[in-house]
Amino acid sequence: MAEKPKEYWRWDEYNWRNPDIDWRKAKIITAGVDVGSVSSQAVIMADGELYAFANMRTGSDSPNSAINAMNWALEGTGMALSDINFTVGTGYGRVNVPFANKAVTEIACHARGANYMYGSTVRTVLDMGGQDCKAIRIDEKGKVVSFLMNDKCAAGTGRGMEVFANLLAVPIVEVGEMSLQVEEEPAPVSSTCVVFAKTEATGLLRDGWPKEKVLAAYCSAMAHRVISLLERNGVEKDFAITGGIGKNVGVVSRIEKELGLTALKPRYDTQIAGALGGALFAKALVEKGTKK
Amino acid sequence: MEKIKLTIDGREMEAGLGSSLLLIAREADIYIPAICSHPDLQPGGNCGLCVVELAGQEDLVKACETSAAAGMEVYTNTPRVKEYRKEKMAAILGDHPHACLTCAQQEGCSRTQCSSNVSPDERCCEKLGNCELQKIAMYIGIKLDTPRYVYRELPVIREEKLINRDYNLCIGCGRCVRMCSDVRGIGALQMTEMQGKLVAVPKNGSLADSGCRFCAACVAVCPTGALMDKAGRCLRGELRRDISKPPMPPESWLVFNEENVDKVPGVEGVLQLLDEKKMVLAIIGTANLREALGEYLENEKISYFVYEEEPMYTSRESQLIQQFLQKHGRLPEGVGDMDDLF
Repeated sequence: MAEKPKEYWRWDEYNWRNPDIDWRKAKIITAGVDVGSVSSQAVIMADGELYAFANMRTGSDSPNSAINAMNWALEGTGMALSDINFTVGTGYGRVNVPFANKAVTEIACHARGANYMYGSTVRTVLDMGGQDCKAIRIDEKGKVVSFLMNDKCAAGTGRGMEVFANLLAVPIVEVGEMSLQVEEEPAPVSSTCVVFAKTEATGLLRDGWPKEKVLAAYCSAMAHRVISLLERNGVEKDFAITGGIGKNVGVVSRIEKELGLTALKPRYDTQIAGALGGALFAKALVEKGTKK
Repeated sequence: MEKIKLTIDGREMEAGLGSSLLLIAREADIYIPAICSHPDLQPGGNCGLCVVELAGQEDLVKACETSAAAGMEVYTNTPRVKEYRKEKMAAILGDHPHACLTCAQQEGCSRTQCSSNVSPDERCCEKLGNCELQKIAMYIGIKLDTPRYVYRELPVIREEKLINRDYNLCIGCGRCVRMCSDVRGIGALQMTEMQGKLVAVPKNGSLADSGCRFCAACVAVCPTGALMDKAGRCLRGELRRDISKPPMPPESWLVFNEENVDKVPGVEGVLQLLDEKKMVLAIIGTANLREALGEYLENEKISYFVYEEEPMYTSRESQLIQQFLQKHGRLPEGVGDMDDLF
């Protein structure tokens, strides 16, 4: 039997729990579930504090992804789904969260999540997700002021990076570091379209370029692409990046360099920002409901 | 004026003998597309889009040039009329860059790069989203065999003060010429032929040499991006107010009530909720249009709604919100359900 090809694009799926919090003492328990095109996250908050989350790949059907992520976040907590007072679904598959009480757009959730994750000084959020990226400007309460998204395709997004990791046989978590190991920054690949960039990269490899240099050229093309998006929407300090690409130092450092701004360091996994925002919306909705 | 009776699309109405069918229809809020006509000008009679069908008459007639007669039965939207309009529109578009009309990304495009790989000369002009020709073409529909646009390298003049001209975008409707001579009484413009295409040009080469007063009334009536003022600096306030806006294709909004909501299919799509001034309050992507609307029936802020069926409703929702933002510089106000949460 043929050996299964190694999947370099695969990133670690994991769950996390804050051991210092006893959820049984909490008054309001809320959850946010972000079903994206590439990854799904479930976040559980106890009285507005992050208690547990899970981050995994989106399966072939959204309802199961949402349930799987939620079950994993609940794992080991002793909590049951019925203990959660309110759940908000978000992301591109947000209406397919069967146990959600309400769906909220991912733009609003990422804004709110970034506000929690990075503090109230954040004004510009760049969400680099699996299939699109959005430049969002927010106020001190985490409310969206304006946003702009790339409207086209996987160009300059997480899925594009996965394709590249596989092409170059570099584990995806090492892509960023590796792309920085170049003496001189190469010119960005001329196309950010995944299909064309892949062809171009294959050509570069054939010309004898080391992997590091090809990755540098791709990371910088990606950075370049989102910069134009950011600048059209306007950039104001503080600046933060959410979404999976936020973990790729190769792209982040290039964006920072070109923008002349340092991105804030995240308190948690940048991928959970959307689900986190969802859980915060859920809490606010519960409170609004009880006030009435 | 002597009054006569006629019917348009089955609606009986009274009109002055001799007024044009186009004017009568507009008075009655019946939309007939027309691009060479403008409310402030005599019709040009050259676009052919305003054709209508008369009962008992074989040939279609132009509504702008046909006078009302007693007992006339006019039909503005028959299959024959629609087909003819499409053909006329195809002829106009054959000589006007139309990537903006055929591109799948035309709405919500970030304009930072072109994903359809259109050659730079033929890309969307600054009027994208705010273009009369674009709106009318969308209303009429674009024929599958619309000729491919070939760039003719006609002059693009950006050197003159206040007004930019791009002859490649001119469709020869002649509105600007009529505005300049008939309304403003200056007559700095005329029609001429350039590579077999009719375009409006200054009489003596440059605008300045042709007696142009740079009032930019021509810019205000241009249905395309052929005439553009530089950052809206010309066209003094009172003059801008005096120039009418041409009627636009009707929007498909519905009155927000239980009866209309029940007619909406229970499928995936995007909703726009509007207030009594038809201002968009919220844009909502949903897996079930009818159910989502039902949740808001009690909401008194909402007077009208628009829906479209769209399986990719989440991305379509983002597109529409982004378009709204670009147009108004802010997000939709909301319908109150998410207010004061934080």
